[in-house]
Amino acid sequence: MTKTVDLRLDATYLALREIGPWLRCLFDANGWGPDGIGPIELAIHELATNSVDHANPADGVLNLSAETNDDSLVVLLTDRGREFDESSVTAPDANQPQVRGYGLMIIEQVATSVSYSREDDTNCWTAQFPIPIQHPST
Amino acid sequence: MDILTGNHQISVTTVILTGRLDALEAAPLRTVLNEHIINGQINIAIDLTAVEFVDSAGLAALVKGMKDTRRAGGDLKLVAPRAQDAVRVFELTRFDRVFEMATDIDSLLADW
Repeated sequence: MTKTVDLRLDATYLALREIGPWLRCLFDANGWGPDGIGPIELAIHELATNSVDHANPADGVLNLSAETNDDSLVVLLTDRGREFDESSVTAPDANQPQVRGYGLMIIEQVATSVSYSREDDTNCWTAQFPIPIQHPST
Repeated sequence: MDILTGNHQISVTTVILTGRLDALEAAPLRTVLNEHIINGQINIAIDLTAVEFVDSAGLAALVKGMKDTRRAGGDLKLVAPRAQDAVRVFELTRFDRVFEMATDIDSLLADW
């Protein structure tokens, strides 16, 4: 059975700290236990941080929606900020440590898939995570 | 031939962090590190033992500190965090192989 749980956040760094408790409630409600929350919290935190940093929504709001079923957790992050410019993303070079640009790298390692679309004035990020949680190889 | 030997004791500034090192705390950390470097304290040991969570913004503050200290002729080294939620970002970005890390502050300072 599919369940959906929403979270509305202020687009501030402080508000992003609500993501962890929200996920823990979600895991509890699905009887999944706490293992595996950490990587997903980090990935969603990185998505939301990118929205705060780059989209900077005029209404000051981020919306998270989590849809769960038997074998996956799908998280949708939306904001009404500036459109994401993929050309602005520079893939990190392992031989040349850089200061920024690691958020998407982290998300792509933790999530099964991550996608972006622009719908009217809204940025839509969708990230899918496997259930049971598989820890990324490091 | 004259042989001169001497002991040079390097001055290391220790910074101890607790709690979350995330986007909210990255800016104050950058400020603190920058102040140390401007004051000539270019060898900095950051103790992350009690840090619970690190994200890419927190990591970025540490990377910037490392690059700035090295550019000034010093270094920035870490005591590794114990919490897996803090270690994770270093592993996923491979920065656990870039930073010099020790398991405790005494061994970090002893090997400087």
